[in-house]
Amino acid sequence: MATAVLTTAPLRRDDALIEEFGYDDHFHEHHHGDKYQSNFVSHYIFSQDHKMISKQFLITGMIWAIIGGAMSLVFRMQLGFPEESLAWLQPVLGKWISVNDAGVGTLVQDFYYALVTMHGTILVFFVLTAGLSGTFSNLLIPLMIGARDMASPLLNMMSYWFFFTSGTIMFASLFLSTGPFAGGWVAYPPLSALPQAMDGSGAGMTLWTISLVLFVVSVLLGGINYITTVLNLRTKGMSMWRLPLTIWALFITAVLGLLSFPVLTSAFFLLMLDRSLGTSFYLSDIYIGGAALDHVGGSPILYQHLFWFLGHPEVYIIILPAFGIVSEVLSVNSRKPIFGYQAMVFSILAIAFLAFIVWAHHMFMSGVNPFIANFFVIFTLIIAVPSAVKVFNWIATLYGGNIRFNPASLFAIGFVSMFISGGLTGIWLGNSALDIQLHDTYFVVAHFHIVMGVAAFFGMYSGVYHWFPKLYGRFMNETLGKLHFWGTMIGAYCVFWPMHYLGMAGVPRRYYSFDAFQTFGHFDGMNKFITVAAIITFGFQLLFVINFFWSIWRGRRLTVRNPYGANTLEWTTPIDTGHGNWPGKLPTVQRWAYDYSKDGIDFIPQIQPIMEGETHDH
Amino acid sequence: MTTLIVFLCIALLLLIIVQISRVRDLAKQLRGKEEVEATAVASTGRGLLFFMGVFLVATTASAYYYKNYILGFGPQGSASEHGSSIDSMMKWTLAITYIAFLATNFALFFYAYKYRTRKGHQAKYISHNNTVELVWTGIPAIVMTFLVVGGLDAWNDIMSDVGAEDTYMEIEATGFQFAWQMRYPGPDGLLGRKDFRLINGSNLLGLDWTDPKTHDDILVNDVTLPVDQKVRVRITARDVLHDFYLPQFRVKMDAVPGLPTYFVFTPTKTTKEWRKGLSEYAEYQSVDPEDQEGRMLWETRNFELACAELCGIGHWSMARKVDIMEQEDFDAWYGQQKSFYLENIKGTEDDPLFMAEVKERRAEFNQLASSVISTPGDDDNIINLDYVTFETGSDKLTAESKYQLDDAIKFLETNEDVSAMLMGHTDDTGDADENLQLSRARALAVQNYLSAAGIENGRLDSRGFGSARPIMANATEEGRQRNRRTEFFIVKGTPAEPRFIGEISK
Repeated sequence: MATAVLTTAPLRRDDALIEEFGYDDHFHEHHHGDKYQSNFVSHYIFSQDHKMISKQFLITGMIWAIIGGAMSLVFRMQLGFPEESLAWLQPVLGKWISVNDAGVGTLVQDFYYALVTMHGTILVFFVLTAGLSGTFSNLLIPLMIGARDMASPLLNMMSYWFFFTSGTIMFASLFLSTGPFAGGWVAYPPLSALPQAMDGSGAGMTLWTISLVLFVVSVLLGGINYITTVLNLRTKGMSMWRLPLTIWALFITAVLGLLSFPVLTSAFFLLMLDRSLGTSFYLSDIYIGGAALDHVGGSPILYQHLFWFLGHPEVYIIILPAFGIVSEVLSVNSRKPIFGYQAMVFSILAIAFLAFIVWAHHMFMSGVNPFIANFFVIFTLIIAVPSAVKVFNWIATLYGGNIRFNPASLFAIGFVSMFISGGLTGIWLGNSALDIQLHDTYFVVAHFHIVMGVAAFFGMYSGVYHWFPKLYGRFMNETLGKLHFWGTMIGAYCVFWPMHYLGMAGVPRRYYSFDAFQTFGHFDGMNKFITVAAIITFGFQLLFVINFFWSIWRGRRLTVRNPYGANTLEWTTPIDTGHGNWPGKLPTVQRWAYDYSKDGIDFIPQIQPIMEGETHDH
Repeated sequence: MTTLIVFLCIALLLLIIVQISRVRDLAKQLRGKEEVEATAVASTGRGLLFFMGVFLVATTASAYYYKNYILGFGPQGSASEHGSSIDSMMKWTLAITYIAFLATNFALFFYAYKYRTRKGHQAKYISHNNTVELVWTGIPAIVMTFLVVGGLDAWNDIMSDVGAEDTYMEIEATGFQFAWQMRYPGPDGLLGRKDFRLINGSNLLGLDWTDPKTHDDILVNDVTLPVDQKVRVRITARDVLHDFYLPQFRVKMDAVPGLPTYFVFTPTKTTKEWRKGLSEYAEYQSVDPEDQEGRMLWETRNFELACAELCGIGHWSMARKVDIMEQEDFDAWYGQQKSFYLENIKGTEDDPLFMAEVKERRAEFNQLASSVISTPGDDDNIINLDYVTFETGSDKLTAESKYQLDDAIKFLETNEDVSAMLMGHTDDTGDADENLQLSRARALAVQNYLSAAGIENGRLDSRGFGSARPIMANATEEGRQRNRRTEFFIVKGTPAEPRFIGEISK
């Protein structure tokens, strides 16, 4: 690679570049006075500005994360310390804590299962789908592709408010006298279809389904908007092959959501019909509560097919945005181009395609014909190939870099470690023969928490630390951020790593107590350890929350437009980015997003035209 | 108060942390930004390297520490024939993924450390490298091919159903909230038909008693099986999804309402052999704290059946014991088990066969009674109450007697002008006087039963004849049985005695 000596000064001020090469869409002539943000309500509440909607998604997601995380602590205390009294929780949880004559309070079984179910539902849908993809798709798509806003700001606003309504309904279900839904986040019928089967399957389940149908509406409104925006509003020069990987990831996430969530809705509609109109889509041959039901001919497995047709793409909906964020953050902070950009894009496409033909690997043990496992095992294990390529490429991005350690880059590195650890156990679970032993054990809990729970959180943290200056014009505190990183990295492994052993020893998940079995009762010490680790790790997350809100008002101010020396377009906007993002012309794109350390120049922004004597290798 | 103190402590701790972090920002200004940042980079870099070391060592060491609890290792080798192929597949997968885990985590943290930013250090511009990328796409692809082929080979072998030439025993496991019910086929080796509409308090599984194959079926709670014999478990559910899970045998399959599933496996270790294996490991050599006889853990361990699909609030409690025996012990155990039908159903109202017979008898009785009462002459108006019986040597009516007695009541209710004389008879064994007393008592018991049901006393009377009026020779058991009887003599008007009574009295 010949290093060209550039004679002209390589970098000019962004404004000058935009003024010279930018595209004039006459934005400033049409938007005097910023009619979208003229008063408090339209600015902060029913905002149609993508940056404000992004903040709404993020903060709502954080609130849900705290609620969902706190729920996990309550049931972890029951699992780790079943003999300790939980009576002190009674002021908050009321009748869900039963106190015996000796004053010892225990978590009521119904509520244990309700907590497990709500924890899953909240984290999967409200935090890691809405909170992650909602936040970053909204913030980054228009800014990184050089658009004024989303294709439809109105749909975008509605997307958030459907999410908000959905959350409100789910929250309300916590206060039902029969409790919220308690049949697991997958809501398999007949358990979820029959109020006789458990208390939570009554009104709790009704609110749960209504809430999630509204949530699907939110995802679809958002998704169709993200897709349209990426396809139609890219600025001049921003070809698909020049898109930053973050945008590729968010774009494919939206496509996955748009294709898979409607199937979930249909599953829910059929479930609603079974519940309320006496149809038998999922029910057959059931004797419960002292009576044989009239339902015949339905199949509970039909629901599982429909559910996992969403459910599996859903895990990629959760993890792809994290892929994108981490790729960007690692590249910027290594001062290197992302290694194998095209391979990264093709990996995302391959994973997204495969996501639709592997759903039955959740169902090897559910009574489907064993023969079909042959297809699903093959496609499932093929996913390991693009996933491995991504991991190797991230590591290769670090190789030979000049890596800055800040909370964003540390969380990105942590993400890769989590994705490795959790991804490798996917090779175990995707193999149907091993699934005979591991299905529905703690091994599964360990696997998905590490690979899509913790890893996606790491991606989200990485993104929040990295783009916080773009959101609020200030930095988050770096020392607190690093402390948060170390606490979370060590803590998360302490919580979830031991669960592999529980699972390999055969301990099933979703058990209220392990006392009924000799086989599962050897791990009291480990269960205590996991619980303590979970409480401490949760404490470190509060540190993040404090840092976040403190930094909004008191953080170190952003004084330059492009604090990281990044190439992407979002750093060419004014520090206080107004509605429309760029005050004058739209920037045009002259190159890909990853010209870092090229020809001895630290970074060359996308708006910089190709210079004389520059190496062409991309 | 305690809560308040805890809360204050947490608040204080957070305050301290926030202050420290602000101090570091201040230090940057005082000591010079670059110097502080260089120190921070160095310490974070070392931190990552240290973390990697501790992490890789701790994960390896902890796995080693727990190995004797982990299925497939130490004493936890599979107790079934197919399980060993799962165990070996698992070890291969473990080896491959562990190497990948070590190598990639090492590279990740090591490069992060090695290429940390330093003064005068510059990043290399490497955008891609096709050769390298081809290699690391190819290697996982080859490894995955190996795992897919191995895994599917094992899977298809394990999941194949029994063939026509196989000898096997079929048992059935049914899950319901919140227990398992096992059904064995009994001597005929066949599980009888069932239907969920037939489920009730006395028929937990809804067995169809009109199918004779159900008559020898045995219902037990725990799983008992002979070693080295192929067993096909038919898995069903009554209410919601359950999952038939035998951890030590590597058996797991959902129980689905309306869709019977199965799992075929062959146990290869008896419970005794397994316990002996456990006894060699320190983990199982302490006293079982829950055992009242103070036995060792290995002595009290049992194979277990659990539920592995969330089925409601009692999901965690669906425990059953699994006992694997030598064939002869199993045969002895199996021989002692009683058919559920014969023990609990036969001859009761829950028995559809019996109820059909009762219906037939009723028709027969009604026809006979109407015909004798409508023909002129009284002497042959005697109906033998064949199905009214007593406990041995007592005047206590058996439960089954009620059906024919109810027929008699019904008849008397519809024919209000008819009166009945109940006549008791015995065989000739035992003391004649006692027999006479017994026959009188028995006839009276029937009379009382009828009057208790609302037949006016004026229309009823009873007599006892001891062994004086046999209808067959008492020499055979059959004869004696026929002679022990209650007769129902009906006439229009007040109760009368048949003419022969005069003869006897003389």
